[in-house]
Amino acid sequence: MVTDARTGEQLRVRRVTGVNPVSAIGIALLVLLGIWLVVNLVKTPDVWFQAFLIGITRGAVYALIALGYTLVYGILELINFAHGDVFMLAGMISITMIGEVFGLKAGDAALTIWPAVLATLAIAMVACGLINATVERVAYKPLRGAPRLVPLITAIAASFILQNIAIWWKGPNYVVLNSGTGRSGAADFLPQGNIFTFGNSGYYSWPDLIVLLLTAPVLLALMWLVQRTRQGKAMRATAQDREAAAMMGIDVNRTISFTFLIAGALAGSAGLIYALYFTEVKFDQGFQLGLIAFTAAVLGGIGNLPGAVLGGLLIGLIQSFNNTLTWHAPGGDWTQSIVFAVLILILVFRPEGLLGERTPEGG
Amino acid sequence: MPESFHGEHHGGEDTHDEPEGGPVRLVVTDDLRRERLTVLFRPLLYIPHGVWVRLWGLAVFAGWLVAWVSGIALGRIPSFFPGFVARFVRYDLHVRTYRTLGAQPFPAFDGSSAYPVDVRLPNPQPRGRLDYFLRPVWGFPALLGTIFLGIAAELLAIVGGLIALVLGRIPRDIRNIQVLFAGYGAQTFAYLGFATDAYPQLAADVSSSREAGVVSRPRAADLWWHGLGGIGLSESRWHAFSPLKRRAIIAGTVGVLLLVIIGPLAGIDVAAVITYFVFVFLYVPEWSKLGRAGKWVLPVAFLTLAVTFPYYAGKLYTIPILGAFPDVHTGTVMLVYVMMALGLNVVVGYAGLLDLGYVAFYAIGAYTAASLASTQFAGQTASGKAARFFNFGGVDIDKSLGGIHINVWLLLVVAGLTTAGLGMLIGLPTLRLRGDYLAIVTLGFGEILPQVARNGNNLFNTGFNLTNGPQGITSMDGIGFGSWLNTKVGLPANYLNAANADNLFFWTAIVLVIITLFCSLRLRDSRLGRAWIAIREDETAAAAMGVPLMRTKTLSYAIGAFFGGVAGAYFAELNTGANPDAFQFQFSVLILVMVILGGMGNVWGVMFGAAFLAYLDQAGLANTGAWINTHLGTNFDVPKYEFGIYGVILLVVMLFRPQGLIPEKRHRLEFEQGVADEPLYDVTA
Repeated sequence: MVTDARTGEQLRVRRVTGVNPVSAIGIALLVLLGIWLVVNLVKTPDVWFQAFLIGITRGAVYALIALGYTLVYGILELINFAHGDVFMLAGMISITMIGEVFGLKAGDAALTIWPAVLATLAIAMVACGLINATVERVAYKPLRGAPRLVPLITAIAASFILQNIAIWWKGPNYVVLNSGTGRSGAADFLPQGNIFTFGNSGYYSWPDLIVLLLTAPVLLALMWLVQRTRQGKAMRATAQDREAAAMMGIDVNRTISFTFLIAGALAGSAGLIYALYFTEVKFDQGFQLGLIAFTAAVLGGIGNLPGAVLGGLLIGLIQSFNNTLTWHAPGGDWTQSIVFAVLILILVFRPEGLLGERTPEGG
Repeated sequence: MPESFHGEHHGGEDTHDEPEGGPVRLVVTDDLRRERLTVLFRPLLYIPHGVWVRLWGLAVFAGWLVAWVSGIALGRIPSFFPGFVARFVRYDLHVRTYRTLGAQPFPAFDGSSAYPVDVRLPNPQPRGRLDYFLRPVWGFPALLGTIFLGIAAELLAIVGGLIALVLGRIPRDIRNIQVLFAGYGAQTFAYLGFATDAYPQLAADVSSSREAGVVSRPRAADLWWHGLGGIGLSESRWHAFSPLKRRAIIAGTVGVLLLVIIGPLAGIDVAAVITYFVFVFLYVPEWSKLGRAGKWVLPVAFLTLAVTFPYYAGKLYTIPILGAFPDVHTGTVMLVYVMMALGLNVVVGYAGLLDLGYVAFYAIGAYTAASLASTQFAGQTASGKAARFFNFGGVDIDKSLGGIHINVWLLLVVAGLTTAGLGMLIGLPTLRLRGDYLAIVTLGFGEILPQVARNGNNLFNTGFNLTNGPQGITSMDGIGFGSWLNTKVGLPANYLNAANADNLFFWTAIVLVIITLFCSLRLRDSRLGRAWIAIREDETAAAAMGVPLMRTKTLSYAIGAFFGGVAGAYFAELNTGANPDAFQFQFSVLILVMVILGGMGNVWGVMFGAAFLAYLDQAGLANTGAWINTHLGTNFDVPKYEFGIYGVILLVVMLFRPQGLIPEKRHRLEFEQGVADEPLYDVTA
């Protein structure tokens, strides 16, 4: 019951309920998705779990790339198209280091392999951090005050330039890590074999676990950096409000460059893991995978670090479910379209992403 | 010995205002600032001076021989000679310091006095025959010293140049050393040339006024004005000329440069001369001011040139480096790209919405036209014959093959409308997103649609063949006017069967481009166009002024899609089919680069950018690669790096000239005069 302030009489108020048609469609789609997953689970559980585990593995790689996108977007509100290509260059650098410089091959002792892998990780992270910071210096910094379209177009230009550097360095074909007959396609000097199997055909192999083992410390290091260090605080402050951060004495330019450095390092680690797990990189893969990772970042809520990880895992799961499940699954041909459809749906129905906060301009 | 001041009978200006017997003085009023652009291009800028100083030096040497002989034989030097040499010595000093970064301004070509590094030479006195005879002997060590110091100065100039590129100014000590070395050379020549009696010394009174201040960011135009300042042409004087005079001067200079630079390399071709005069005829006079008919002269001229292109294409010459002029088929492809660029211009240039998925519209247009004018939907009956047949104005149709065949002219419009409809459908949920999200979403559509095309032969496992999968649709019907019109009026029945098919496609493309151009121009000047420009500049203000945002944006998207669809349909007809391999993201970027390079929002700039880049894409890059490989002995496969080159073009345009080659009116004003909003804290400093 509500009282009219002027006349003092009681008014009966009827609460208007009803569902917004847009969110109704969104909810319907989610329900359909849920039904599809459940039916598949019931029909072929071992395939389902296999897909799940593969999805988590791929999702980890996507999460690392998505973190790079989200870091840069959070601080500059710029979609760094070139990030995927930095990841691709990291893959090529890793393959070159492991294959040619260190010359790892199947049968090498663990004591040879792991220091070499860790050294490659360090080199890839440093190199890609520097590449990313250079791109920022050359292409984005002079355009800080320009209208929105301009840095975006410059990012596309930077992406193409990096791709062509890869073509010039390694040629237009697949760059392959000299790998023998590793069953899962992963590098053959990694421990092969399954950790456990289940059902008729399900398995979880050592390379899958190694991907997670390599990803987790990087993520933890990033969390520590962002939450517990001064530079991380500077990054968060600059992302929140650039001018206030400047007034607080934070060197905004240096912080932005540092963010690009970190994002590049993340791409570097993702590139190494990709090289170890998939063993081949092509110059145009960076752009494709970068877009998928960007979808993951948007799905989780762009600008939001845990969101990027969640988004990455979800996109990895979507991809692997689509590729592997059998009941009414669109199949591998349609994966790209499905991921982009997810992007469009997210931007239409929930632009702030799963973990983000709604802003007036829609994310 | 009498003193003489100001060189009354020697002709030189301030050179000889020292009393007899005084030292040579170097007067330096340089402020250490070096403009980076001019430092970078200094070797290039030096070339005219390098040529002129040698020519003048030859003349001086010839005169010196005469003077020397006269001094030995007659006991006296011609009276004009010392002044003449002094002038040359001055000029040589200016040029030498300019070359080694000892000074900043572009020297004048006549050794006139206003230069930051100058020399004061004491007057020479009459000497005896023996003195004149022995002068070269005494001067020879100094000459050696000059050569040696010259080499050192060059090396130092490299170091100084690198520092100047970074700091924008040269260190005082380096400048002083350069001045000293150059001054020594000046003294040597003056001594040897009888302009002074003071023996060259490596010491000079050097003073510098005004320390270096903050160097502001140079415009590219500053480089021009730096050089032109040497011939007395400054920016304000240039703008004081009438436009007609300016254009005439530019046309004349272009002609002279072409003659001097390209003439010796490639010979003089009649067609090239004709082209030049056509260019002068169209460019110089102010046609638009010549009455009502005047403003039609340029469009009609261009139209005539375009329409008659097939007739003179074969006679055209080869442009150096870029290769031969495009043939008629390449010209048709270029025109289709121009059409697509004009379509994208409506979305990106007028409304300011970054569309990265333009290839989707091209694909939809192409597939719509191709599938509705071919045997794609023929189907199959049980006995193997075609199940469906529908003919509505198709040309040269074989009934037994079945399929839907609609007149291709009609299909151009139908394809455009379909694409526009789908564009509106795509736009409705996405156009309310912010600029960068919109870009990504359009990119997503640009990726989805080709995948649909590629997998369309078995849509959702139902067996329905929409797009014939990876092979695409390969046998599109011909375009033409049919046999009735052929016999009555003589119009071609079926382009594909005609003898001059290339020409017919070319002329039809011209007609389509004219229609698109007309629509673009009218839209730009309409209420809708102004609404688009308002949205592009500031959405919130536009909405506050009552512009319906969603409707206007959707319309821009739809119209851009329409033109893209028509262009795609025509392209499909040109290639007699539609193939999913042609629809890649890079295509969208290519069209985007055309629009941006040409000038976002400026129709003429976009047309020029589109034609140029389309030519590069089709033939120019391959030709340039071949030229580079043959002339430089390298083995570059230039077309492989095509998109890297476009990336560099985009980057350079965005960094240095974001308004494009021919800026749109408002952008030009914005970038020249600046926008009024100032950030609270400038993080770019």
